[in-house]
Amino acid sequence: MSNWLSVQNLSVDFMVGGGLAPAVLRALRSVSIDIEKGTVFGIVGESGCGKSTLARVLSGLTAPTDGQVLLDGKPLGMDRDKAQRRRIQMVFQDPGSSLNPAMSVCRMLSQLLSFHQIVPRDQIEARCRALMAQVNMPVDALDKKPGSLSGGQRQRIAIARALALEPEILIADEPTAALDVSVQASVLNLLSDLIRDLGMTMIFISHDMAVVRRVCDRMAVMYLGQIVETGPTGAVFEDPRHPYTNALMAAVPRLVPRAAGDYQMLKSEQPSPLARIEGCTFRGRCPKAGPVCATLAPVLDGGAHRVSCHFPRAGTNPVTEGSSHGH
Amino acid sequence: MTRILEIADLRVDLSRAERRVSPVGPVDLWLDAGECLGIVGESGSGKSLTLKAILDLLPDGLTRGTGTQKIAQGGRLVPTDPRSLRGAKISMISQEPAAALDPLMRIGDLIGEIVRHHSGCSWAEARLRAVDLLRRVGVPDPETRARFWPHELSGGLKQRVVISMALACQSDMLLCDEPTTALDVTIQAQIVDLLRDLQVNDGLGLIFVTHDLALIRQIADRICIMYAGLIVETGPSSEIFSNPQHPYTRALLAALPDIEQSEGRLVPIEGTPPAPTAFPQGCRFGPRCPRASDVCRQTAPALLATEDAQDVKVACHHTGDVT
Ligand SMILES: Nc1ncnc2c1ncn2[C@@H]1O[C@H](COP(=O)(O)OP(=O)(O)OP(=O)(O)O)[C@@H](O)[C@H]1O
Ligand SMILES: Nc1ncnc2c1ncn2[C@@H]1O[C@H](COP(=O)(O)OP(=O)(O)OP(=O)(O)O)[C@@H](O)[C@H]1O
Ligand SMILES: [Mg+2]
Ligand SMILES: [Mg+2]
Repeated sequence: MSNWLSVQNLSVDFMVGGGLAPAVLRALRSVSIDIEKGTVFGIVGESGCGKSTLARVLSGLTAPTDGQVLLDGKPLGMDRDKAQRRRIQMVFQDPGSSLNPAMSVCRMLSQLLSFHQIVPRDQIEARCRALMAQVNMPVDALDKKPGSLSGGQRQRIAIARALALEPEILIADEPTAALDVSVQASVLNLLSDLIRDLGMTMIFISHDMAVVRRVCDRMAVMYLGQIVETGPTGAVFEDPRHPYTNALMAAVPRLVPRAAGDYQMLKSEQPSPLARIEGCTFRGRCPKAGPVCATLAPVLDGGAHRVSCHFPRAGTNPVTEGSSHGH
Repeated sequence: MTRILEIADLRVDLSRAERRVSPVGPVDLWLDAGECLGIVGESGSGKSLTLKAILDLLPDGLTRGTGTQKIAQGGRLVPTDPRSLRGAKISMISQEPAAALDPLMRIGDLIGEIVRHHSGCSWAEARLRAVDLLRRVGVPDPETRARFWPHELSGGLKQRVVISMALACQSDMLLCDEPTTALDVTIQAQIVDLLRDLQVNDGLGLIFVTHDLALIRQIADRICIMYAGLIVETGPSSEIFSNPQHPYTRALLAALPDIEQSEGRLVPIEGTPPAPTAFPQGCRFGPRCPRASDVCRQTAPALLATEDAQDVKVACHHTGDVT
């Protein structure tokens, strides 16, 4: 059961611009991921590289242009029945706009709990209270509408809503971005308990590298719609191979500042997902790019820890041995 | 340094309550030209309401209490109506970027409109400047992006559009409410550099709210730690981080995940912060504080300068106790 949830060659194109100059924006370019049941898969990457788009395809909210998603060997399409919808829940990146402003928290949760028949009618109120406690919110928040909550409080309500349905798969798009470190710690502890005790599977999208390192078993680094490096979280952090992964690690602000010269900021601009790029999409910003990078797109290659680069940083562990070079 | 903002006794009250309920305040704040003040605090501690109150942009159901707000004008600090400051003197980057974008306008027009409003230039000129602003905040292919609708943008792109809208005002002060939460660390570094550049070269004053303690340490000159609507500790950023005094500040630093570590459970602060309607008597952090004693339960501690560092102020009865 190594690939319980499997994403195969997924591509998403958007038609944008409209009117006089329509253009194709390639948000995802043939992305493949295999996720084991009961594990956490982390996704990091540059803003705009397609993380939320991937999450939306998995949740059945965006139709892929190509490729498919398999759950337990069976294709998971766009039209899902009530039971399937319940199995996969998503915490949206923007908690404010994913909550109905006219409904109190209590009404929203009760409706969900009764619609999906999670608990008997007479236990709904108790369950709502329990959910509030789980996400570290005072019970009196139940009577409030989203507009009179703070940003981090709204985010916790969004998490409570997703957890109310006891999903098997939780897709969490920046679920702790608006939380302070203390509340973040308790929410992360809650999520790891659910994974350990109930075998929940989680896809965890985040810009916070320290959190990704804590929470995720495996991870992928995305750049411009593609996965450029993937592997066990420890391996990717301790032995980053792709130059983009290296730049990402180096840019993390730290409480104890590092030695000068350690900070390598990416020089030129982020490329546009509208452009067609020959060869490697990262080469314009890559300190190591050579002639081959301009003509031949690298493929994701290696064993458990894979990287898509013609000149990956030499490894300190022999993880990718076996298939050292592509075709 | 020239002082550009001075606020005394800032308070936010619930409009419809039988007794006075104040989610924020009273709080004193000031800002010098070219300075960055960081505000840190638990979720729900009143950071966003504080920023909104400065511009009197509070949502329905909340009103700004009395207190004075002075703004530098012609070299002097004069009392000023908060509403008259919006955009002109102070602009704001709000916490949820999506809500700040009109879904029915292309982003180039959104920014262009602001540019035109503040400079009175032509539409053609405003469009060019909008594209230039998008480029400065690191949006790739800005000419094409200017024609996008808000719903066609990723979370981080929306956030960068909101930042360029705030920069389009060319105000003296910028209130930033979690302006980089949706950005990856490389783009965050780029935005921070841009803000620092404006700080140093144009004397832009920044008030910066964030949960990212490492980031705040990097950019803030001074820090206010907020808890349950009040400032509990304030001082130079270096002091607060190297020698935190208030038990809440210490607990906050202890809960921070460290990128060098992958093991072990994180340590949240026990308990939940009180709701504004149920702020406890005495010290508001008391019920969660490991050092709370009888005096903490009876009297609220005042924000006072500490003995060893004059520019650090702490609101705790036990400051200076041996730990
Ligand atoms: N509905 C849409 N129509 C057109 N373009 C879209 C749409 N949704 C997303 N895009 C574009 O697809 C690309 C990927 O967006 P996505 O939201 O997946 O990025 P992301 O990795 O989640 O970024 P962030 O970290 O900023 O949230 C972006 O260039 C975005 O502008
Ligand atoms: N419109 C409102 N009416 C009543 N109470 C409100 C309203 N908006 C916010 N509050 C309450 O005021 C307190 C402070 O809210 P604020 O949004 O300032 O918090 P914050 O410090 O910005 O938190 P976060 O880090 O989660 O964004 C919270 O307890 C919140 O529930
Ligand atoms: Mg996103
Ligand atoms: Mg806030």
